[in-house]
Amino acid sequence: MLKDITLGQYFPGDTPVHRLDPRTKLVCVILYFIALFTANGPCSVGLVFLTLAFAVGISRIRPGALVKGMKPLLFIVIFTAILNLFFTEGEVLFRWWIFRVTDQGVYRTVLMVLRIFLLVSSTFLLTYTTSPLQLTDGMERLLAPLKKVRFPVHELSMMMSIALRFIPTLIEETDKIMSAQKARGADFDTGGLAKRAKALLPILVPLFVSAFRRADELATAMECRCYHGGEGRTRMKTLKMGVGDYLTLLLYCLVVAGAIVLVRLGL
Amino acid sequence: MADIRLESLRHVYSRGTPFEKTALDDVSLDIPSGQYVAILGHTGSGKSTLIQHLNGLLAPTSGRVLFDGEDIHRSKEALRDIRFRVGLVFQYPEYQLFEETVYRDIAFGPKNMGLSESEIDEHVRLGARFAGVDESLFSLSPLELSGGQKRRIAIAGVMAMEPDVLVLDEPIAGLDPAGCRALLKNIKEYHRSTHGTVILVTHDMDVAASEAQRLVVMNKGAVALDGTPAEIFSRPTELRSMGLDIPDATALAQALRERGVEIPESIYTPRFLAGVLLSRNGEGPC
Ligand SMILES: Nc1ncnc2c1ncn2[C@@H]1O[C@H](COP(=O)(O)OP(=O)(O)O)[C@@H](O)[C@H]1O
Ligand SMILES: [Mg+2]
Repeated sequence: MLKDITLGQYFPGDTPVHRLDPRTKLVCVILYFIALFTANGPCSVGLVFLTLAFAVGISRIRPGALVKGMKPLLFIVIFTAILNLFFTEGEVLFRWWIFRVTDQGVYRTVLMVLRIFLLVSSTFLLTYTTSPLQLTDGMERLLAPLKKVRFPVHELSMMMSIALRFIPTLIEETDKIMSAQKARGADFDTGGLAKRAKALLPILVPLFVSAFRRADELATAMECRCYHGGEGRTRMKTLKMGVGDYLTLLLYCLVVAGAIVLVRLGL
Repeated sequence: MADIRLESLRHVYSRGTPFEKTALDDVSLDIPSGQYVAILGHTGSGKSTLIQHLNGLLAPTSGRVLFDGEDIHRSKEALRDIRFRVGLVFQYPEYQLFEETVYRDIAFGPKNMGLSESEIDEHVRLGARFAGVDESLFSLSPLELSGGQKRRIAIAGVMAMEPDVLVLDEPIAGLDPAGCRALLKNIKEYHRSTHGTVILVTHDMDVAASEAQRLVVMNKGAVALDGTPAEIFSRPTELRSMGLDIPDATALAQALRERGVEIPESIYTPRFLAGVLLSRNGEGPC
């Protein structure tokens, strides 16, 4: 079912990871990316891997859910893996037809796949443990300084939270419309690419119509409740950084530092 | 023939995720060809889930769906054939129209059946007549019509496949009284003239009481009550405990009985109640 797609899905919970301030989590993900891209040896990659494993452990998110999140990227991962595996210079391990596999190739491939996995998983850990609302709140606050240069931070974050809010609704609606067309004998599963693309038209038309209708209704509802942009708007739940947040940030800074040191040492 | 049989059907949504939900639990049901059945139940009792099994849109987690004694999931071809023989009208079908003209939207089903142009035309006109869609609307865009008209068009699109079994999920929800009456009349007419099975999902007791031959009451994913309207509506306390009501006529008859008027228990349509009351003429204290 379409609904089972885990895209930016939030798994409610009450673990220390869930309770962290969204700003902390956002900054930590950025720090994590820095560490991840710095790391290029077995030890440094091991360090970033352990960091994520530790965070996942605390968050009680099933590792299976993270692996499932990789599915849409499978093609890209396999593609890069093959490129790395066959086209890296180094000591040849074995040859087959026009292909040759080198020790460097295997090493780089493993590193690459692991990196992509960690990159995707760390982002998923963020969205799995942070509600979309918290996430956009955090972003708005982090980007607040940009308001000085007239960057529409509030508008952007409002648009994002609305978009996030409606993703599940639209997916559900797509499911419903597809079912209704299937009930009239529409066939989405067989035939060539052209035929399948054509079969999508009966879904897109009603989906767009209803998306526009929803957008219109939402705009009216917001106006009725006197929404007038971000100016002077206060929040029901104000974000607050706690001791845990500062400690977590410190920990991630240490991970980045650790990765840099390990790379310098050539490990 | 078009006999439907459900054997200990179970359906679990989002299995293996934190959102797992058992929507149907051990539902067994026999619906013989030609019956007019109303499926009743509180919101979330599993009515929509149940009917989506009838044409194989949902596959049971366990259990079987048999059509004329054969499992509908036995092959892809069989399943596709079932989609045409069991016509399913979804809840709020008006949001699912997509073609440029009303005619082409109604023709979508028949076209998928692989009929010839002239047969398609015949089916479209038949479906339109049964659903009360005037032929003068055929060349208009469905998007510019009113909600009630759109719903009729969507229903016509399913009736145009001339299914042996017509399943409608809350077809009257949100219609004005006149539109509601007209639609029910069309469905009844369809039932009478095609001798097909009609399965009507509703939570309006008065509609169920006056239209259907048999009522199936769902509660928490299981069949709670199953019987004729007279049998079902003689158990008002059970119905109320499931968040349902009894028909107005039954409630009125009950109130009269409590005040000492002698009327039989099994009253569930206004017409019947009126008949009983009128036949009492001449009796009474004065
Ligand atoms: N696509 C779905 N995914 C997950 N749960 C669902 C889905 N559809 C329905 N449910 C759940 O299954 C139960 C039965 O729903 P449904 O069959 O729609 O009931 P009804 O039509 O009687 O209101 C409800 O608790 C509902 O939340
Ligand atoms: Mg329903």
